[in-house]
Amino acid sequence: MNRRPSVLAGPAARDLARKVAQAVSVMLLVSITVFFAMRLIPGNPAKDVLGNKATPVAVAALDQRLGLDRPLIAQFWSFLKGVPTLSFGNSLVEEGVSVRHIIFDGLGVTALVVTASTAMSLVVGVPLGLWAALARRQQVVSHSVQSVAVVLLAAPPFLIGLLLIFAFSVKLGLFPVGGWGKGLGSDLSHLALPAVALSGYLIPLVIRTVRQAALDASRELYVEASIARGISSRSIMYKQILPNSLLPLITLIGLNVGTLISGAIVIEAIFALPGLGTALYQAVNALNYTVIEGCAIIAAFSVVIANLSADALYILVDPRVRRQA
Amino acid sequence: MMAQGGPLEPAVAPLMEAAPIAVSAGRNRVAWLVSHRFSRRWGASRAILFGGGGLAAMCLLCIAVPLLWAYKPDAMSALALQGPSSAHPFGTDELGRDVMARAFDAGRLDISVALFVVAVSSIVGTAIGSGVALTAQRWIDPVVMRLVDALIAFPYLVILLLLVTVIGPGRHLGFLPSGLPAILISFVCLDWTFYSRLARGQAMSLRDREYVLAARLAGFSNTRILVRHIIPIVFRQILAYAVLDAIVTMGALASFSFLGVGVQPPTAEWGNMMFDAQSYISTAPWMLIGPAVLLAVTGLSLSVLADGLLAKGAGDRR
Amino acid sequence: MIRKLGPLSLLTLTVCVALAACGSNSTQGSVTNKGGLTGSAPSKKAAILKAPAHLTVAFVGGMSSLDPDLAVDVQEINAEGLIGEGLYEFRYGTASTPGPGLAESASVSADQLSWTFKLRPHLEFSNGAPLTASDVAATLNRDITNKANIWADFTAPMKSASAPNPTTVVLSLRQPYPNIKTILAESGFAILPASAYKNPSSSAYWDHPTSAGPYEMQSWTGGNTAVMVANPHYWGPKPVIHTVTFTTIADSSTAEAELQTGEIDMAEDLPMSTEPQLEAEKGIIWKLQQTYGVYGFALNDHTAPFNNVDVRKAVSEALDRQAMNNLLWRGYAKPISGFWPTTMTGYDPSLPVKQNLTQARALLKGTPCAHGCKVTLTYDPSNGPWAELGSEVAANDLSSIGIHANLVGVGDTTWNNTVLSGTHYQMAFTYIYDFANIPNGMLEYDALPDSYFKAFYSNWDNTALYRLINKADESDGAPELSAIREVGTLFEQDQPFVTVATWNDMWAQRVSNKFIDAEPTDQVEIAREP
Repeated sequence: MNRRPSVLAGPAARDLARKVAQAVSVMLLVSITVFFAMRLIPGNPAKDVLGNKATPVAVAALDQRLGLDRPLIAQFWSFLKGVPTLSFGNSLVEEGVSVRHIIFDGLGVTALVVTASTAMSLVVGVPLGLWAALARRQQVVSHSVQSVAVVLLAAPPFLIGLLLIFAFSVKLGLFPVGGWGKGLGSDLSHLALPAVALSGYLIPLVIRTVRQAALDASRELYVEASIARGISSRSIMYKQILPNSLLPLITLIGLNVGTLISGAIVIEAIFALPGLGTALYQAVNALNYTVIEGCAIIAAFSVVIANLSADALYILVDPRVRRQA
Repeated sequence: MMAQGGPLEPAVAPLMEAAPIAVSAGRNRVAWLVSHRFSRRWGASRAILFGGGGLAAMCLLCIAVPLLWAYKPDAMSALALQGPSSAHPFGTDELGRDVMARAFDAGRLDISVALFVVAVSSIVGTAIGSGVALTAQRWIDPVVMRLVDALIAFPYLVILLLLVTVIGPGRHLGFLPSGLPAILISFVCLDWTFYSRLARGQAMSLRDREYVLAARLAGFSNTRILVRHIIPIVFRQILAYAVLDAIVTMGALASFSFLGVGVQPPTAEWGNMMFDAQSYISTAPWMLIGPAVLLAVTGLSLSVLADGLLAKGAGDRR
Repeated sequence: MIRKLGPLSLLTLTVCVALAACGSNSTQGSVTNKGGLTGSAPSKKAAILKAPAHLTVAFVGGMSSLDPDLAVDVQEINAEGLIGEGLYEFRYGTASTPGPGLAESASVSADQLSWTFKLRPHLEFSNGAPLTASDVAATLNRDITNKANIWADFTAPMKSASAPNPTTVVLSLRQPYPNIKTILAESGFAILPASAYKNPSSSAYWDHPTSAGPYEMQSWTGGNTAVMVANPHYWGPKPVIHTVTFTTIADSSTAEAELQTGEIDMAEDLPMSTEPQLEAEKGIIWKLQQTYGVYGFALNDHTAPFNNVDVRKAVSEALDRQAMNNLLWRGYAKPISGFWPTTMTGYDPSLPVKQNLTQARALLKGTPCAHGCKVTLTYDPSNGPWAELGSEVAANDLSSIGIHANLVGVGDTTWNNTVLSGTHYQMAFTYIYDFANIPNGMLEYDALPDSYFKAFYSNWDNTALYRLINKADESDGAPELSAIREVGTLFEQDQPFVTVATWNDMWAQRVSNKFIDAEPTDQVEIAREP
């Protein structure tokens, strides 16, 4: 009996390490870009904070207090130092409120929406994809399911969101029109429609991927061999076809985290959710440098970590990858 | 705006693998054929016909209705917030404008922007991607692809938001309505990356083909090979994805206007109209339904068209 | 075949949904106020008719400071109004006529340059510490000398305050100040302990100031929620509501939903598009409160084309203010075309507000805009839905006389850098406001280029105004009135900017307005126990 090759020793692990290094360089590039891009936006954040209370004396004083009068390199360096620990200082607009506090408040909501919609997409998409691949009247089912996918692909998430509000909140009164609840129970009812709206984008992708993977798996030699040996189709389904169908989903979701976050920003605007997107959008409007930096970095972090996790999970789960020379 | 792993990536991988696999493994080739009893190509042509036809019809209506209809898109002539009637089939909005005229006028803007962005990005991206695949300089590939990966990794809305804010959402250029130049520049700057990745992949698989090697031996320059042979083939293969991208771009444009950083009012645009409609969703739902239906129908046509192109492409590749 | 049918059937489904939706033909949307009402029908009753122990009010913007010298946004002013008390105060039911607050009586010297206030006996702060004349003098002196004081224009005529004995305060002035009682009732002149000024840089103090008003701040940590309870050490009659919570809800549909479910009792600044639902909902009453301010179009008088007075007048003639009233405020606002809003002395009801395109076109003859011109019309969408709507209506009106307006919605950043500084813009739709019927205050803010609102950001600089403003500042009665009227005339002559309607704020509540009501000062006042 061969011993399972250790995950850590193999070429896959080296591959992963390389990807981690790449990720770090991407993060660095992102930090630099975000920092300097914001300094390009015309305007002075101190002046905005003070608004109609902005006299030149007050603006200069606030500039100094916020550290905006330091040379650009000094500002960049103190920004960069804070990135690894996710400390971005305080919000420029709200006195004494740390950026981390704002980000994590928003991140909770956004993460919840993204997670819920991903879960929903899987719950709906996987069975549909499998059905389209393996049903007895395969052609008919496959075409119907793919038609559904085509339709869902046609509508951007915000359109689905608005129509959902109209149908389920306004006309039927089943869900709140927007906002966020206090406490878990009402949170769920506020979460339902946004999650469904965002999942409309992911479901067709899941269906396509699962269908293709299931089709490929069903045609593998080992499946035919199992049929020949008389193993029950249920056993084949759950032990051979299903796992192989689910594998590409890991990569799919990892790759799509960025798009989901983008979609979440618009969904948050429609449903007035206090998430990361709203925080970012308000910060951009108010030139709240520190919050913009924080949100952008967190978004990049999330995407990078999601990709890395997907890669790592794939390696862990799929023995074939580990053995690749 | 094809973000990473968008409708393209997962579909690309199995399809692109299917080709060599089908060629090499005889058994699988039979299985492939067998599982598509209805000729994929035949069904695909119908899809292309319907999708393309729908799109063409929508384009025609978007040009004709604002010109020919009794009420102009910007005219505040009627009573505000009226329901659908024979005079105003889609009702009127909060300023007394005819929703139908506005919705089709908006369609003109949305569709042309989407097609423009996709056309420019796909051409630029394909050229760059193919060029990177074929170049003799070893260092170009990793550098460009690293940049592309970095851009793709980022949630595109965040970059776009920053870009649009830096350029200034108020700018208008000539006949372009205000807000549009910033959007066009930002979208194109981001969108080409995805095509370049696709094109690079395709071009790499093509560059080892016999006719390319023959052309090299014959002394043709890289550029000539690129332009004459590689790019047209690559482009044809990513056409389907470009169509899907058009849908996403339309959605992104509408989302941006919804957020307020896109096209500025009173220019009619589906996102703008739906944003205004949200305040009146219980009192005047027709304000939302008009542009929503048009957006959905356009998206549907594009989606069906893309589906047909994909299927046709898969059939072609045998 | 299936592939073809699939999308087709779904398309049909979409169209059916659309038709079903359209089938619900609502005529509610077309109702506009034709009866001159200012709010819900008088017969409508609020849900809660007895004074509750606890009340929640939701505002749109938040609070950043409770320092009386810095509190200027609606929620801040309201909170300050509840917890703070000055020598005079505004009370429920007396609109904006000030009544005696901490001061029992007052007298003024013959030359009008020195006021003597007699404090009530045994006054206390919310923490039980005694409130004496030295606290009052310290507060007033700080208000006078504080460079960051928002109310600087109002303290300009004041010289200094002193406390000859624990119950007497003497305030010396540079010039006569007839409106001083109204000024001293404003939230900016709330009296705080002298010890508060020993540590001025500690912003934490201002989250929890010790105050002397009918309420004290129980908890506020700089966020969205502030809880105020009745102040047991207050000298006067107790308010009928014991605990008041202020909260911030930026999204109007959330605020409206919470008002309907009863999570909040009162909401400020709901958009007028919610009016049909509010009317339909039993138990909610609302009103569009007219306040001391003006909606209007700021015109940059220093740059083309608005450096030409005829062009400016043409704009004023071309605007259809009544259409704007119907579309923006469902007919509940009060259109104006002169300098003074309907709520202030000096308002001239004889000025025409109707659109006059013929006159507008005639005015344009001979100007650079005679054959059409292009302008940029800036607005800030975050001001409210009216900003975009009004700009669109104006653009439509102006196109009838050949002026093509390019609409630009900007965020706070650009707004502050352009319109607020009076530069780099041509035309902007915005508003200015004040908190009392103090005409000379409005003049200080709005009629001079260096004032707080920079003459509605127009750079209006008419030297005759300096004389008139002085006259209005120093006189009372007939001479003041004539100065005020003259300002109106000068405005019509120069047309430095274009006014549209009196500024208003929408308040909706499910509690009876017999114990809490919004006033023209844009503050809520709570009734006191008899």
